[in-house]
Amino acid sequence: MIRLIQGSERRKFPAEIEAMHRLRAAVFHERMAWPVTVLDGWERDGFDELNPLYVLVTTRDGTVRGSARLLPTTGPNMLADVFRDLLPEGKEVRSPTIWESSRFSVLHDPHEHQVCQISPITGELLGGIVEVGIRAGLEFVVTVMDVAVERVLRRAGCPCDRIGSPRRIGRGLAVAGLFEMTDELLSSIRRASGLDGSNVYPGDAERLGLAA
Amino acid sequence: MLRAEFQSLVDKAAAIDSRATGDGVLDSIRQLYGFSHVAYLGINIPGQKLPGFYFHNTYSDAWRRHYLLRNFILIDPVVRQSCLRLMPQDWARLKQTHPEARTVFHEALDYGLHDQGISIPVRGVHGEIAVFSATSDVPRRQWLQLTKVCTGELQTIAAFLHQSVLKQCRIDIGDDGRALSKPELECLRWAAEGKSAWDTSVIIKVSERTVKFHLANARYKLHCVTTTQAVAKAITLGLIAWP
Repeated sequence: MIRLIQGSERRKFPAEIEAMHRLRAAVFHERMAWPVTVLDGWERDGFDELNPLYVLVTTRDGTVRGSARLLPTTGPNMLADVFRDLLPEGKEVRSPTIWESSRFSVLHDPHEHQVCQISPITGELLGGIVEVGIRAGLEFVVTVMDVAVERVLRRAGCPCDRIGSPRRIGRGLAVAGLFEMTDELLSSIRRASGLDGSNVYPGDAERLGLAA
Repeated sequence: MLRAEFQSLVDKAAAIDSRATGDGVLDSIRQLYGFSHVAYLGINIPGQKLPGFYFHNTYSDAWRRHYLLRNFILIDPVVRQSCLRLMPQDWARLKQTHPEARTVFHEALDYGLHDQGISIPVRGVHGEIAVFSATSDVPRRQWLQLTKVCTGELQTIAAFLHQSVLKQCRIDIGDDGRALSKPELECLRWAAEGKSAWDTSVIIKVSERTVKFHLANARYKLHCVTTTQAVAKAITLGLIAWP
């Protein structure tokens, strides 16, 4: 299930928000050893204060297994302010039809046997981002991702283009990439992860003003 | 909408230099999409008299007076939710989820306005927020179809309108090309030579998608709507040489 929560609403969804920050700590601090700040088990940074749109994946019992954060590139964002050196010299991504996805975190179930090219959680999270992108009328979403994730997506036929050179961050290599928001990409992602279709929580769609 | 019409429209939005020309552009937007009204509201434009609101819309004077007298800006869910949300807002949803704000919609009907609409939140580099709204009285199904197709265009129109307002308020929007990167300049150079995005992708060895991405950024940073205009502006600013 896809949950959509605005940063300004964090107090209304304390359980989901807490789970998200802890998931981010597990992925970015413990697993990837990125230079992030963890306080009381929460990974949180200044961009969380800019009222981003959070995209979460929850399992049937409500556990948060995946999360990402969206910000428009017309305002402050990570690529502009933190990951400058992952972009070609002087490059700044700025356009009303391009948003940035950051803090993409997925917690895999070690007992889950993965039969698809993309794990269902990763696929659902990516699909959620693309679905949001299409609804918002976006052309592209840019992101900084681990090259391992990039590889998985390429192999699964989900086109993602590099817009910079990889750099070592923490334990791995990270690279800035872009996705074109098309129905074709959405279908590819769903096909490669064995998903049927949209799974956005209706209450969130209603609350966030998405047309029925 | 036809690409050429859209480009011409955004071009006009980018060239707004006064409320008068702005009125003309808002009216063009309204007509081209068949909207009944369009409205731009700047929420916290730097330098504006407190509280920093900047209204520019096609509404009647009577409604504008009524809106101010009733202090609707405080309870209008369109304004509140656009400050709080990133996604385009469907007014039907806003009415559902904010019953206490129905007053605004009801009284708008008295002034001949429609309560079917979409609002696009705008976020700016200085942290300012604005919202661009469009209303219509076409049947719901047609409205849903229209908004599905034109949301991207409305995002672009909203952003260019906002940039023009900033310019009118003497705020630097950085459209002198200082923010252009090497890949963006390179793509503009090849475009100046008459190369298509595909040609350029072959020449500089990236995907066509990446070339389109660089050109999209370049256009917005130069405050231009077409690549041709962006090329011309880049040449004028001395960023690229005459081909």
